[in-house]
Amino acid sequence: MASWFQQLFLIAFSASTLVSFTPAAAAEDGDVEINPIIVVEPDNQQREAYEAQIDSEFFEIGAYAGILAIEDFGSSGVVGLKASFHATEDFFLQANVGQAEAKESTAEYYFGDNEISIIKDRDYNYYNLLVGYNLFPGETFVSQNLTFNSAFYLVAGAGNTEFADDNHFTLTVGSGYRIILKDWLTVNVDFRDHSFETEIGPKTKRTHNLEFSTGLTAFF
Amino acid sequence: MFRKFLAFYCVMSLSIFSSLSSAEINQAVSSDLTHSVQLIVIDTFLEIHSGPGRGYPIINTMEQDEPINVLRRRGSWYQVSNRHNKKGWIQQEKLARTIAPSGLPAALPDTQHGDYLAQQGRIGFSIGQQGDAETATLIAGFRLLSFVGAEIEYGQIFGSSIDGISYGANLLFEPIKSWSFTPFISTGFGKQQWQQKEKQNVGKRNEFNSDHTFIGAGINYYIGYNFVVRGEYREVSLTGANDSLRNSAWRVGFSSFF
Repeated sequence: MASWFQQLFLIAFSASTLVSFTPAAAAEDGDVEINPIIVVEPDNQQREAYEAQIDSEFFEIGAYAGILAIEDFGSSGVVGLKASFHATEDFFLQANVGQAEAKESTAEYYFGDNEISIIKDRDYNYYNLLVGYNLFPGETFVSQNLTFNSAFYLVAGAGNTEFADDNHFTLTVGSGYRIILKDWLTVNVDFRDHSFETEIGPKTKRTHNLEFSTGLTAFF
Repeated sequence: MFRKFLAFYCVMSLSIFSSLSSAEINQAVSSDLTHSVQLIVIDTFLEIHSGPGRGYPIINTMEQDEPINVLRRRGSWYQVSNRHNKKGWIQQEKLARTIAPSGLPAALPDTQHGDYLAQQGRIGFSIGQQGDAETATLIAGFRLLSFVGAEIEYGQIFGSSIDGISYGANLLFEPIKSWSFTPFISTGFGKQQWQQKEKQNVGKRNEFNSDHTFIGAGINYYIGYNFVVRGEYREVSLTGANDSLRNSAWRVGFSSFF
């Protein structure tokens, strides 16, 4: 009696579970409807975002001092400010603003003070916008235990030179060497040619003004 | 008396110095903890370079499951340090092969080539010629829509007998998104302020202004993730107080977006 009851109960139970496990979508007429497979894509929002937490350093600003040979007007000290934007590991954009004062030309020197003055305004102010390429990145071995990262780079660009009461469109090309002293501090040595056409005297001529400078810059 | 004073002074200065330095250290430690991002390596190993560039030698490796701290970013390179405080630089693509301590993938800020079409600022400069005069121009821009960018520019014009400054606003239409070389169409307006050079006229300087509009076309060449070289040709219409003229202008520019 008990076993018969148990059998009946089991049949009823298994039938009910079978019914409940049959896809609900199975239609009464016997056709089976296949549900489309839902692919669960990884949620792109489920990521740890760090943008604000990581210190991004693209800008480098600093100052420099050196010697500028102004063609026909001797050599004089030059000081300036520079700002760079490091776009990629290879390329950077740089702006420079510099200032110097022209010395006496040979003619002025020979003919004595105030006898002859070829130019009135002796201030030499310039700015330039350059694109730079880090040609040889590497290391500088100062001693057995002291090594700094460094890079040899090339720059080219254009700007303005305000000299002898006139603006001159100036092409600048040069090379430089950057030694990274600390993660944020670098020392630079630059050699550049600032070339422009000038009309001092009766003729127009292209002058080349060579600048040798060294400076410190900071990344931020 | 003097000795006493000296001893007091020494003790005071020492205590002030020690409290200052300990405060500084605490501050440094806490700021390090709050600012640095910790990630866990999931690759077998990651190569660490001595500087932020592929030319710098590999000096170290970070092993699987090793926690690393991200200290700073320069371009597409990140400076990291390990438990032993060994520092080095790692490429963005490699650093992406890490997970956060929570097990989630690390979403590092990235500027991929295609992302230049997102809303991004860009700065740069261009040099060129307008008529017979040379130009040097600073440019700042912003991408308004996926195919339109807005720019403002400020520059100098160097003529033989006159020179001046120019400023204006431009629109750039760049419909193609996936090429390294992408053509664009540009249009804009602005003002040019001219001045006769001093040597050309004795006495007062002769100044005049003109409005300009232009239409142009050019090609952008995208190098790496965020560096653009641009070549552009423009037809410029100048309208002064008394007359107007047309000029053709070309320029080569370099800019970067961030």
